[in-house]
Amino acid sequence: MLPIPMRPSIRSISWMMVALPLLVNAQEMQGLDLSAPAKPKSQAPQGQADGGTPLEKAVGVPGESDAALEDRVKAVQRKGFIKQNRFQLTAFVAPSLNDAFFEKLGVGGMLGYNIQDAFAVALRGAYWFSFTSQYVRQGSIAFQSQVLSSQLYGTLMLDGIWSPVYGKFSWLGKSIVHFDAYVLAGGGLAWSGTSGPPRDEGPHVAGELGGGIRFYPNEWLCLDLGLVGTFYADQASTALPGSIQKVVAITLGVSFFVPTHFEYYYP
Amino acid sequence: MSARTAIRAALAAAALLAAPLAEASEADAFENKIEPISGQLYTKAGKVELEGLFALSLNDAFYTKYFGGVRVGYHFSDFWSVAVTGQAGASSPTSSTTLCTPSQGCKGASAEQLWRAPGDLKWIAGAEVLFAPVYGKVNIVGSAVLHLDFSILAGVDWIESQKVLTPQQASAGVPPGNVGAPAVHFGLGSHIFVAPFAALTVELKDYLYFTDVNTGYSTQANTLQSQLFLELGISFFVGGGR
Repeated sequence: MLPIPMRPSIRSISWMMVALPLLVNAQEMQGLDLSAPAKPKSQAPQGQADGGTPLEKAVGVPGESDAALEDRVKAVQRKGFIKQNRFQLTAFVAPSLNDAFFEKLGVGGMLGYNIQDAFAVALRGAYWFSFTSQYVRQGSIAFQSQVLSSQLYGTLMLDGIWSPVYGKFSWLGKSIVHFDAYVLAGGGLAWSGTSGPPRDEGPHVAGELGGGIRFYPNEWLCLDLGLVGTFYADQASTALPGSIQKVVAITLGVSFFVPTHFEYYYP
Repeated sequence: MSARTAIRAALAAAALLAAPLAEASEADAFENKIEPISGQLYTKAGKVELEGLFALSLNDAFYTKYFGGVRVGYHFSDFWSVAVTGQAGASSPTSSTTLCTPSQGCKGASAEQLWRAPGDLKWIAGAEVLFAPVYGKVNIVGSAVLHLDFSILAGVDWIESQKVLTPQQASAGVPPGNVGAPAVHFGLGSHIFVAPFAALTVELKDYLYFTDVNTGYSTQANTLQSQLFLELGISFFVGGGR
């Protein structure tokens, strides 16, 4: 009996009829096509095997060609998010990843200006809380010694941020979220337990290096996931040699862009 | 009007109607040349995933671990999969076990001292469920294109580690044996596709398990330990799907 097997086909065709206009709409809305260029179907030049290209056959002139037809043109759609000439205000938290004994949590903010769409300068500041883990006690018992660490309180950095990677994600094969990936590097000052009394050494010269991903759910907001290492020289105890202190932290942030709207421009 | 005439008239009418379409087609030199891909190019549904991996422990207090292992998984869909994993390897004391004295300078802890510290894992075996709702395409400096997915995962494990000795036991000089414990883990992962049948895999996992640690010269208590691992691997997809 045909009618029962036919039903899925009719339903499929109906879905295709509904989906086709949506696909067209989606193509207009999305910002960047990242498809790979189409692979040539044959290594031999078209026209040699069958006696002529379609254009040659049409115009009747052997050897006639059209540069546009021969090009392998890659569709490049518009970016979904433009940052150039916009300020960026960010709030973030930064739990540390590399100190099992004294875990740190940074809370801070960043004010940045996007000079170009892929490059920004930013002033980043953070206050750092420190938490003593169970390993301090376990280490003290195991090695019958004292665990010393540099106590970081605050950082203030001037960074350059470069975002050469741009892309888009699909969520469950449906909605599209635009994102970019960035690297940052900068320098500044760090305040630790030795900056104030009794040693009064003042702030330490510091640097930071990191990277991350920013997701853009709309035109004035982004969510930031990064990994940043902060480095500064400090001497936890005068009885010990000084060393470069390293604080590697995951940064979880939310950014707001001003102006809240952008005008698309063609490079 | 004969049938042949009627057919000719119908063909002529059809040709006249099709003419504007043909003109539009000639005007667009790029027609059929552009193949935008909006969907998921690399699929996993119905495939078996075989992975060889290297794992490095992070944020260690006393021991850094270097493990190698294998994983076998099955993808029910492009979003859901299950896998079993086994990994084992070596460990080395972290720089935090360097002991400094004002008179003798700094040196590494002795073997007897290290026997008192937790975290010297020997091997891990487990099973996990992965959910990969995010599939993405990345454009690097306007040229290379990478396809990747992101997943969250959770699983149960068995962890074998070196038994922690009390200072009293360690002073006897008898090396400790191993002890096993059930564990759970949570994590994030990503496939970076290099071919329809292969991908690079990056995962960050946090293993949680209980073990005895020292609370005094001769006393111990069972406490929760957290062990972070970064796993890098190469996966091969075998079987069904596209």
